Amino acid sequence: MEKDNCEMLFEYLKSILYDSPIRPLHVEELDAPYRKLGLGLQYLQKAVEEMQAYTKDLSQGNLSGEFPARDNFLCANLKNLHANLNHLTWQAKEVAAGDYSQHVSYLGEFSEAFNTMTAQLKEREALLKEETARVQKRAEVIEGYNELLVELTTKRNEWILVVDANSRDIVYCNKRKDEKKIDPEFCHICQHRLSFRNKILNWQESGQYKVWEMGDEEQGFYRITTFLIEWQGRNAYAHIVVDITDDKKAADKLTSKAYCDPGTGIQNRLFFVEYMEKVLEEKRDIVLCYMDLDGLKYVNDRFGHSEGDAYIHSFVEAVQKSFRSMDVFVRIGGDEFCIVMSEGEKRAAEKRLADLLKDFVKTNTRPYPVSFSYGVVEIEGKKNSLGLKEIVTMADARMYECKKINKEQYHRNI
Amino acid sequence: MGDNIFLKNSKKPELSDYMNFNVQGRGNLGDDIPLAVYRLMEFSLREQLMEQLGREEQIQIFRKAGYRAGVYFAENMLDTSLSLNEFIAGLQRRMEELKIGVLRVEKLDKETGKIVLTVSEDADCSGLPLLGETVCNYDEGFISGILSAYMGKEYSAVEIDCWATGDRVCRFSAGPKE
Repeated sequence: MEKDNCEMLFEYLKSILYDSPIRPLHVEELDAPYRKLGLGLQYLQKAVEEMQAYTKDLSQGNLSGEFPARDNFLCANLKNLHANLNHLTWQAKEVAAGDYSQHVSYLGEFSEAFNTMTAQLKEREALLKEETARVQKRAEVIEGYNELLVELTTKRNEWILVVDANSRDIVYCNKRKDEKKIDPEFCHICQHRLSFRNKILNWQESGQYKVWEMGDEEQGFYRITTFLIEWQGRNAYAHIVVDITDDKKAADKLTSKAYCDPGTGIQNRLFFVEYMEKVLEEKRDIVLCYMDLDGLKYVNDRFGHSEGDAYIHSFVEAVQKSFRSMDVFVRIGGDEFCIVMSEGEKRAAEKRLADLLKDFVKTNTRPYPVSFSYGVVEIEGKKNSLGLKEIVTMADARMYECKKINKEQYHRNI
Repeated sequence: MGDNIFLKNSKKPELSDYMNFNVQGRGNLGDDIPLAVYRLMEFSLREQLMEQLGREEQIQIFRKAGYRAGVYFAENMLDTSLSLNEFIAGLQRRMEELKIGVLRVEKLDKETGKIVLTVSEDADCSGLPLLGETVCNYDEGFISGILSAYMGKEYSAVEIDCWATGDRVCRFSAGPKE
């Protein structure tokens, strides 16, 4: 009988440890002295079953499962583990939300790994923040420069046009007032002003950089600097168009002043020299008349310089009336003048000068005699081997012959 | 000797006066004391109060005393200007340094202000036998005092699990008083 009771209890204990489900113990089948032990084992069964359910929940990460009974001491350490897992879950959420101050204590290797992780995250975040601040500062500086550049670009008088090299669309124009798409036919201002817009749109030179000029008196003059650029990943031509009309006028005025004799308004020696160099270079046929106003020194000495100037003016006027506007008439010195005729021959020129002299003398109303001497040289461009200096010397020599005759005549008439 | 003129009209001493002690007063023994001594005082006091005033009264006295200590602790030993998470991290560090226990947060609802936290290796109850009832009433008050001082509004904390009820940590559920 004792043996049967012990066997029954042993089998029950074995079942608690190894069976699932556990084979139940019927305490009433035990003899009275063994029933207390049977009840104890039944309590153990409950504690083990509870522990198994609890460990199953924890092993599957279910932290919201049923808690074991408070007095189930088999689960004491599991409860501690459960509490730690709850805490770690909360900490993981806080770390995910950016709180890297989370710290785990007294969990051995896990603590070390977790704390290293949060420390590194904190360090990386600090570095990232530092980098972000640096990038932000750089971006602010670039934005500032960009604003300045845009301001400078839009306020410039020049046109800055960027034309897509393939589609020929105008992708940028600094004269554009808003963000609307640019009219490929140019907006009103450019269409009106830039008569050569088609040339800009269809520009197709392979050169990297070119400066060219366009325009006329009516439309105005423009200097265009064109170069190849890459605009938003596409090849494009940048054209910087500058209105140089005023500059050109100013330059022309300056040139005109440089080539003009202020006393008479006709062109001067500098113009004569440059003009003759060009004539000789192009091997053009010309007739050069070298003239010297007789008695200018006498008039200046006797009647004063203003009368001398009037004498010169009357001579210039007489020449201008007598010669064609296509002939170049220049003052090359105080009383020396030159006429460069593009057409005609020496003899005809001499005759015209003789007629002019005759008429000049005849129509004189001044209180002194007027006269001029002249020498004529004919140059056949293709055959000519003389330089300007030699030509002038030759004409001067011929003029001097004339002067010798006129001089005597002039002094007789004083 | 007669009356001490210097002590006449002096104000009633408060907790802060008692805490303003000179550490050098224990020049040889230092400022640590064994856990057994702390528990001897706590549980003898607990027993006496229960016997004299009843269980409910004893619990209320422990909670109120703990609350005073919690407020003092927060105001004098913690930085209440920190953000909530930083404050809790500071509280964890301080509690470990002073060997009060290992504080861990299980849940924190920032909208409602409700917190579930655990204290393991708690100075009051860790290692106690199964008594079938929670014993950390002083801790309940201590935690509500700390949270009230930090949050700027009244908090209450209730112990829901305890070593003495078979757990291995003390679990407190705290929230603003309605």
